[in-house]
Amino acid sequence: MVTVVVSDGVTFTMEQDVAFQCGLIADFAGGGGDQEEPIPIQAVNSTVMRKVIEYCEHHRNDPPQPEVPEGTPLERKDRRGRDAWDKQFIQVEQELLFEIILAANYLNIKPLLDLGCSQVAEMMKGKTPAEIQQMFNIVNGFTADEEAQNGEGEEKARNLNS
Amino acid sequence: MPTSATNALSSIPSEVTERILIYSCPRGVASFAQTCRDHRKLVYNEYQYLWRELFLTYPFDDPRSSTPHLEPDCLPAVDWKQELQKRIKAEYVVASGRTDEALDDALETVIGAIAVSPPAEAPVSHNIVWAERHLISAPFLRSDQLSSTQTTLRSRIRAYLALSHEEEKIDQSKTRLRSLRAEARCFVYDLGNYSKETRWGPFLNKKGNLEINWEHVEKIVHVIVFNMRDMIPDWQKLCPKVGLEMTRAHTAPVNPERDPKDWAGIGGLWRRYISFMDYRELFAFNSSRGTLRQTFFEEHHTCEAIMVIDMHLTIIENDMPPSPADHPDFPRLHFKGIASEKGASSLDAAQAHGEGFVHRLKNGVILWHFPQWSAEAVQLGGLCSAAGVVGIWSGVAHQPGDPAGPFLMWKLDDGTTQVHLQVETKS
Repeated sequence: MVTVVVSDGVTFTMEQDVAFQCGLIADFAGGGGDQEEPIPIQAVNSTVMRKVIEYCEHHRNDPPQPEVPEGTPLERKDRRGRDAWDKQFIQVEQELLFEIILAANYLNIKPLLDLGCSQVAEMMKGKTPAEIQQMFNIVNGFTADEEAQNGEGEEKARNLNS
Repeated sequence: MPTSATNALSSIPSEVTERILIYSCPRGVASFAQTCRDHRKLVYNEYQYLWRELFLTYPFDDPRSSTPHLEPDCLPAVDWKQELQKRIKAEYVVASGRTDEALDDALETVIGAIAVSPPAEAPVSHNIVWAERHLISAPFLRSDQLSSTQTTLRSRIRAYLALSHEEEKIDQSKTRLRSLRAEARCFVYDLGNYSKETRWGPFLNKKGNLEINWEHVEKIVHVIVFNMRDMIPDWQKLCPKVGLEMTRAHTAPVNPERDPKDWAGIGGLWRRYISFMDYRELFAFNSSRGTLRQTFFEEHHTCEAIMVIDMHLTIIENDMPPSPADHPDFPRLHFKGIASEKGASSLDAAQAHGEGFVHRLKNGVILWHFPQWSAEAVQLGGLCSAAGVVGIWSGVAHQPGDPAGPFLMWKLDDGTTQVHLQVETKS
């Protein structure tokens, strides 16, 4: 069993195959038997950790992901694990979604990171720049000149030019 | 817009934002880049990783793993960003029906993408799928508003397509295809298009340098493919598959005993499909003028005949010094050919045997010369493409009034039943 303590002081105990899906915990525990001291995870709070553990428990029996050599195209391959359960799991409030992404990044859980990232991409799909700004509360900070450049927007977006 | 709430994206590290963008489509990335200055920087000042991922997941073929058959020198560095931007723009321009200079770039980009499609070992070419998807209903293919540069580029694309995008289903397309066929015949059988300067082949002479005349190549392909469509179904089995897919490198059957020197895939069995006009008709056509000429092929219904001959080609040694115009990695290959036994019996000796050579120019183009058959040809597509070799045969003596006509030859599986037949076509 592995025990962790998160930022708001809550401790979680889980079986090793669940915990070791987090690269960070696997590295920390070093694979050597039961941990006596709980592992501190300062960057994650208990709400998010609960979600993370739910994900890791569901995927505990997944076959290990083969190593992909550098430079191979993603080919959307990281979405293959995105079954109905995953889709349901990642349907959360925007704030929590970003917290999950941050936690997955920090804890080093690649499939969860990809699930979160592809979900954000999904949310932006087909949106105009203004709609994206509104969705994520982005203050553009463009000068009038830059704004004018953006003004030719439609064609530029189509052509993918800066 | 509520400004009090925090910007969710600003809380995550840029490498994670990048990961989000990799899952987006290029257009989504462009919209994202317009949301604020940091995002624009992230997208456009990025080193090539993001762009490579966007390019490959679009998906396009990885140019690093392809055998580029048109510009072998373009391989090493790939500017992923520039290339992706060019292709996305090409998509849009081709679909829009624009005919300004942007179309020139778009057509060049499409040709470039076809040229770097991977050899046949890769089961699917994303580039070919992409090109087919965007070409099939592209207005430029049928437009009569193109500049001469655009017409040349279109000819090259249409030569590769070999009418695979055209079906004779509705009356409107029937009429159009009829005029396309007449146009092609008028060009190919016009003896004024053959001269010493262009080696009696489908070439242009640019200050002493031979270049491919794509319009001529296109017309040859059209004449032959229309003739093939006229053949009865049993004989159509003798015809090759055509279309963009067939222009990929190494799609032709491989001879298991292939000579390692034989980069052009010469050795083995070939089928040569020759079209010609009855000599009196050819002469009548070439003496006609004006509207008589334009409508000649509507009036003369059975003016063309075809001959199909199988032949065996073998590489031979030759001491000819390499030409400075040739690509240094592809030494000139000489070969001899003999028409298959069945065919040889009905041909005279001079027609049954011949020698020739293949060479590749520095720009990647592969040319075939058959001096004894007085034929000049161009490889359609990449090295050892299934689309084969198209060209022009002409009278050996090249006297005024000597005939000329188009041919297509393609590689066969050595197990194929050999044929030799001669038929007349309808109009």
